[in-house]
Amino acid sequence: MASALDTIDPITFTVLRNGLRSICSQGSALVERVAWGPVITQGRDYSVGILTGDGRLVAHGTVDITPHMGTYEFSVKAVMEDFGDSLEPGDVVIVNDPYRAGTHTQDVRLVRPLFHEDRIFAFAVACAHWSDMGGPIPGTFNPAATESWAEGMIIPPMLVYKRDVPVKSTFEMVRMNVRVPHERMGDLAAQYQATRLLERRLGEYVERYGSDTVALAFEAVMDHAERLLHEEIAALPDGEYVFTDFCDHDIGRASHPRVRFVCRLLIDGDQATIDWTDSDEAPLGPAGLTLPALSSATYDGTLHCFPHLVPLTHGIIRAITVKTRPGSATHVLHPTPVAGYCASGYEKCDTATMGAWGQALAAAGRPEMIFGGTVNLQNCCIGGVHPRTAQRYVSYTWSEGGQGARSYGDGPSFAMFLYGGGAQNQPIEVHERWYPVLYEKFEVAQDSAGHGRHRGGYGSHRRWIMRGDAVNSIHGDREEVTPPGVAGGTNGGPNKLVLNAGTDREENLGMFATNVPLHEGDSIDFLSNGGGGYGNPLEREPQLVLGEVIDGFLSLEEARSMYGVVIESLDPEVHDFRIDRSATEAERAALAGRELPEGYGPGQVHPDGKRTGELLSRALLGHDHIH
Amino acid sequence: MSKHIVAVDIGGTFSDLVCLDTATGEIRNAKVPSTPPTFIDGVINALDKVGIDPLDMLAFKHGSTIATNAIIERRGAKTALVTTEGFRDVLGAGRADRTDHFDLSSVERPPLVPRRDVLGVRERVDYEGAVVAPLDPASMQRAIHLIRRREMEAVAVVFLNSFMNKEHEYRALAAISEALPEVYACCSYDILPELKEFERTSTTAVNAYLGPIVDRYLSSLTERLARWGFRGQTMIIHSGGGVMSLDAARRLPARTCMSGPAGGAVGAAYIGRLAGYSNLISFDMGGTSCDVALISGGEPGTRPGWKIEHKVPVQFPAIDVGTIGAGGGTIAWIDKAGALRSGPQSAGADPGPAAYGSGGEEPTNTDANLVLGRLDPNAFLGGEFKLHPELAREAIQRRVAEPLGFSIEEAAEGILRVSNENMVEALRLISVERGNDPRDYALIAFGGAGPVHAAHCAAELSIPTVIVPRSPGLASAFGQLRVEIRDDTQRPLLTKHDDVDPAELEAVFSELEDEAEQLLRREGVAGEEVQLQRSVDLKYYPQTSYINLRVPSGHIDQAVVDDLVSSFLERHADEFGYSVGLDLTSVEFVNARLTALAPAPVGELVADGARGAGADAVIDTREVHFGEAGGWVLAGVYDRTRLFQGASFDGPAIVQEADSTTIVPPGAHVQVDRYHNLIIDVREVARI
Repeated sequence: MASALDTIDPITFTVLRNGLRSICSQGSALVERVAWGPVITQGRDYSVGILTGDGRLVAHGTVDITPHMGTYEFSVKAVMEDFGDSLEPGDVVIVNDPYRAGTHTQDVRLVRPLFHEDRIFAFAVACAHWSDMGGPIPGTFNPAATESWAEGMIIPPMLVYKRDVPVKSTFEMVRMNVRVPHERMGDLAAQYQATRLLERRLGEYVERYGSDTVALAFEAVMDHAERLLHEEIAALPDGEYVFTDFCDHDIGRASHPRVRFVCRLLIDGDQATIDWTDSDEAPLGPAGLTLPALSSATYDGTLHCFPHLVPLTHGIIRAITVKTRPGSATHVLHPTPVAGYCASGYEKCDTATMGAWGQALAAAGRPEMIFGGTVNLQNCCIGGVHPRTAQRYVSYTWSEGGQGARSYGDGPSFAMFLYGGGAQNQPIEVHERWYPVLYEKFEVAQDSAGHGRHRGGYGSHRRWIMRGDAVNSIHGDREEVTPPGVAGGTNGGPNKLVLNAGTDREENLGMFATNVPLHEGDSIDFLSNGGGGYGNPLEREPQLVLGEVIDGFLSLEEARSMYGVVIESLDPEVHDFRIDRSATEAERAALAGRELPEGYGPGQVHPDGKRTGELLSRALLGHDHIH
Repeated sequence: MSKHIVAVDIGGTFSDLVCLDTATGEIRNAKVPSTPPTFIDGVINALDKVGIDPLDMLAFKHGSTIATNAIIERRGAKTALVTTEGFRDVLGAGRADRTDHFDLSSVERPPLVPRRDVLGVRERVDYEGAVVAPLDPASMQRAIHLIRRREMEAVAVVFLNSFMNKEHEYRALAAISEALPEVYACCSYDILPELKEFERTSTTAVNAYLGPIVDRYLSSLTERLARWGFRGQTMIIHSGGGVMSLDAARRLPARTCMSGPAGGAVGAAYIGRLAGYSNLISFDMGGTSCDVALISGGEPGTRPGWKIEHKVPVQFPAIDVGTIGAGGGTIAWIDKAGALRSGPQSAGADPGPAAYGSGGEEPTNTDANLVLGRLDPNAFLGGEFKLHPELAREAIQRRVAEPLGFSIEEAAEGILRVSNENMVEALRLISVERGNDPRDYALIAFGGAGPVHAAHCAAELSIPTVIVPRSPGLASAFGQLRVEIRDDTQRPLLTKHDDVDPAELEAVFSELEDEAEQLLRREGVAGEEVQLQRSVDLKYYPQTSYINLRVPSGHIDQAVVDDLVSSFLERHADEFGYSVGLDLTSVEFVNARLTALAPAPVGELVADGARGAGADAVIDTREVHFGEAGGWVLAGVYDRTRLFQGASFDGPAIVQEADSTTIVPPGAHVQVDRYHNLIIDVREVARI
């Protein structure tokens, strides 16, 4: 049968392909503009998508957060299973069930069937991260959870609007189970409006082009992406490429063991399989991820390596076979907790997927889309009663950090997580207005980058003083297993959360602190990961090392020990630093052939990342075949 | 006798000059090559070319891309940033967002002030304006010492929460100015007293970075003009769609960025108003990009800020102009899966479209229009520049028609359709998506390529009317002639509606008004000529974007405050589909804004009374391809200079003039009005 892509008029195809993306982006812009939670309006933790009437993904917005996207098909499937033919025009279903339909309870989806002549023609989905879904911890992240009942309210598919009339019982149930409910009502209203906008705009396309043509365009959009991805796969050498990454700890187990995620990429002709079955068993704590979330992570990592294939559509989804084992860390089952999935399993699977594709690209002699690891999300929540307003508040924040180095240059500093490209940091001045904190610092964390011929981006350092009592929880990761370096570059610096640093009450809270009481006057130091480096640090251009010393990003000591660059400080007041040429030559000669320690922590070399470098060298020397 | 007003728009490639005789309404113009780096030579060349007597020149209005280019090319002053200790990376960090959610390959540009020249000073003010740590004189002296030793040319001072308490910034600025009077210095309270440290720091840093070069440029400009003999008033266009004095431009050089598109929108509003249309969408399309702006009730819309680059926002109120990468030189290409795409890459001026014969091999919009007979190869840019249809055909044949199995005409039509769709999306974003029905608007098309694409784009969006002014290629410069004095200032309010004290709000506005009047008086504007407009930014408390509402004139009392709150609720419901009861949340008053408007010499277009018939302007007929008409059809070719009031004709037709070509598709009907505008009814044009 001829593909839709070969049948459709190519002009109409491009018009509708761009048009579908554009209307999703308009829906996203509306959510950002009118939602209430700062995570949505400042952090852009939202997404909007269109699916076919049988639940296949066709388009999403252009700045949306990517962990949602691979889960849409699961969300719509759950809605269809539960409601089937009973849905009517104007019905909107709310759902957040992480196991069947989503990621974690905070990502709440609104699903609206879009009708054409009495039948469901498409679905509009608007998803947003609500700052609180109830449960014992403000913000709902609960690193100590060992069961999903400790992670807020699970909403199965439920009608929230019936024929565009609010379903009061659903609203009331939500209102009674979340903190700061009026903010959540604002978020819900914004999502609802986005689905209405999509209904209107898709309706205009159907009216203009006819439903048959729009339906054909849906198929062609998927065929288009699928065809491009198969071409990319066919251009890579056949073989198996493996990249392993770890969560620091499963704190649900007494020994706090690492949790291992193994991405095994098999390339055979133009077919690719991504096999996760070698990963660890499901953790007891919230370090794993559900099947829908794993799907997002796999496609996310893939599209970072092939960004010209966006948007994510069902064409990409069906072009890759994903294997996983129910009950393993990459496919946890109810009631294994998952609220912190994004900072833990998701991030690792995204990184490992990129690492595995990176090896295949290396074997093909194509370094351009090979990246060092990038800063890991930290879900830092502080909750209490504001001393000035006597209002209850929940502050949910994160810190940007270093992006991974690339074959052609350094990784950017002050970058967002892999999957939050459109997300923004929260301004300090906004934070101080809303929450009882006073910042003392927001600067680069010196020496935090993964080193290499090209360094990763630097991590950042925030420090604030509490101006009232509160409780603090965090669900992060990568304090110990940091963003991987590649091709001989070192792993980036750590995420850290330290209470009262520099005092006799100093305490490293780690990345899994739960309900730590904070008192007025306490200080918090919040450091974020540097990105992983690329290539041998001894090959770095000394002039670049000098520049970073002058800017204060890199210490003289690290310049010498890591890069073998000896710098004299003559008159720092006027930036007069100079490279001691002969000392540098001698230092580099002495360090030549140095084997940096293999491992997963800061300053070490990730073993799989090192293998990427070996594959690349071999390919560039003309040996195309591995094994 | 002084009677001419001159506006000059300096672009990277060409400088456009428009001269209006205020007595007769006669317009003269000149397009001359720009002369970087001493752009003023080009200005004088243009003045000489139109041949005006300097003593006849009343006012000289000037917009330029010099400021914008200095940022893009990082050629500004050696600038230091003095900021709160511990926060040296606010400027470098930005908001941390990428430009694309999947693509990790973007390469960062260096910040305007490198980290090494960001100097931390011990001080701290909290969110309510209370001093947590006093400004430390020793660390201030240390910063001054470093600025002196490093021979910095400019300094920006930005402290956290300074919009709530300006004392520390003012003291720091005074200390710097006293110690280093030759250094250009400014502080964020004077530039942008507004919440959000990055946007405020960026705007202030841009201002300092541009201060010395804009100052030098203005000095040499005024000196050259004086030498040439000019004795009138020189005014500088700013992004808010107004002019400012030389002093104001030196104080707020960051406002001179983006002046060209702002002037274009103001000109479009004026031309449209004369033609009897107050609801307009301006459509300014050149070689590489297309600027669109919405004009409602005769006024171009404004926005609170824009970005020069991804990490270089400038948060000044500006005419809301949307720009997309679609122009005559935009390249069409086929992706690996066989889909036809358009842009955003452009062939630019060099090599330019394939038809230029300068080595360009990729097909562009211009090539497609040429192949379809819509452009005349011998009449492009008034015939000064010959196009090569055979090269255009070859590029389209090889790059598009063959791979898609299309005829060459189908391929060219396809290129235009895909490209038009991108422009239509840009138009949709500023109209439909903001709740404005395109059927209530007219599209006013200018720029060299605007009139070529306007009719089809308008039809696609159901915009009923297209207006093409005379000399559309010079309309942006013409718009600058029309610009009046405009000064925008603001104060933070950050108060929930229940806590707003009407007397305090009145006091804030009175203070802003006093300052504005004093400022304009110093610039020679009499108090009674100044028109003051008060407005406030409101939002639901938890939101981060606001809606700007006009405050009625007169004393502010509780009723005025209550009315503002209810107008906000209504506007929010209108624009975004819902409003929330005040039992659930508060409405926050974010900023008080004052716009001071004062007249500047603008001159008026004068209808010359000439009349004519369409038939008098026909100079040729030729075959033009319109897919909607089934292929090649015979179209009349009209000489624009011979079209006067009363002329009317039907499409298909082509109207040619020196700086542009207007395409009149089948089904369109043209009438020429008394200002020689083409008023094109496109309601019967097929949507393709």
